Amino acid sequence: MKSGKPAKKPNSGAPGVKMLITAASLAATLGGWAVISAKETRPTPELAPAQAALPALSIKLAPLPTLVPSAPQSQLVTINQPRPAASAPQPAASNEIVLRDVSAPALPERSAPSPVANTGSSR
Amino acid sequence: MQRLDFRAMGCHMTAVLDVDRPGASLDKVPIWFEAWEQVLSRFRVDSELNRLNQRAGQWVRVSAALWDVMHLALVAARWTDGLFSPTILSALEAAGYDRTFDQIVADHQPITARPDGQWQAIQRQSLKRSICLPPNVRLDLGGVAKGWAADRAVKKLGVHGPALIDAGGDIAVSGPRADGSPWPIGVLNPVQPDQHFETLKIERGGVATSGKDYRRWLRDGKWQHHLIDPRTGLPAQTDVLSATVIAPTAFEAEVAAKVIALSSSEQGLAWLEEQPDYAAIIVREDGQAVYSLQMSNYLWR
Repeated sequence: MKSGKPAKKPNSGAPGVKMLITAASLAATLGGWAVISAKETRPTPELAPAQAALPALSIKLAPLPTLVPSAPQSQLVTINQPRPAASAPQPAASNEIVLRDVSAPALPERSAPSPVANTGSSR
Repeated sequence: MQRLDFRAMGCHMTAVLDVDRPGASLDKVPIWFEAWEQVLSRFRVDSELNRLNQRAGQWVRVSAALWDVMHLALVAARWTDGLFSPTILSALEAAGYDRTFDQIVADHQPITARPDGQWQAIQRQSLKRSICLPPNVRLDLGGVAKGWAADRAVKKLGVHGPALIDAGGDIAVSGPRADGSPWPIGVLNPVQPDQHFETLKIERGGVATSGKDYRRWLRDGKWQHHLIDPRTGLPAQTDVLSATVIAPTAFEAEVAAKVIALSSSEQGLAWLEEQPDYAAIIVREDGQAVYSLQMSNYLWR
């Protein structure tokens, strides 16, 4: 004998509906963001004419402090003692500029002026 | 530039002042030399030097000029170990130089050697400015009087500007010329005395030449000259024809030139190289010129 209470129908279509609703909601959100973004003004890389026309601002800065170098330590020179050997000269680099001899006409010798007086045996 | 030529002390003199402004004049220079010649000349009978020579063996008060020259002459005698001597007058006269050079004539009298060395016996009292010559000793300051006078004159003249005094070849210079350049001074060729073979550049100090190329005469058939070697009392016999010396003063240059002229060229050059601030050109009798190491600093080349 069957009872009067009807048996529940299997709820097999509910997950599909939820998925549909979620997808529709996501699509609407993304679409709205896209529309809003399209309406925003994008700044150009060039200076805007309005910005170039701004009056120049004179910026007054406090003067820089004068920098005084610290006084060098006085060098003590010891006299009558052998000096430290001077560093040996560095050998010429291989790529050093070599001056070549240039032949040029010799300058005339500086001739002596006429003597104001002459020295010789007393006369 | 002002220039004045005149004659004094038996020589040709030149005074030069490198200033053109009025007030600086050379007119007084011959007066100075005349006064000094009256003191120092042995050829003027009434000179102070002759009066001193006539009173050998006595104390004689002398003028500042004679005292000054005498002092320097004795300093020079000590400096040169007697090779320069102020007491060679007797030897000089014995060689024939007993009158002015212009009056000397050739003769045949024999020469008597009179070695010297008596300068060491001269006495002086500085407080009284007095001199006592040893008996029979007489002075001849002709060898240094011109150099001393050149130094003295250029010092007096130099207060007006750059000055040069040429006292018969003994030259003193007060300092560089007005444009800062040195004075060009020619060195006469002893073989061709109308030409100079070098030009020196002198800023201050003295230049002098001593030699046997000019003051020479015949006596007893031999050529004599005025450079008496005190060691022999005779005219020096060396290979030096003339010696030109640059020194801090004309007096020093004259003494040094005489020392070289009395020595051989080799010994004279060696002696001179030991003297600081001196330079020399030595012309030998063979015509060759020898230069001291320092001389290259003074040659106008």
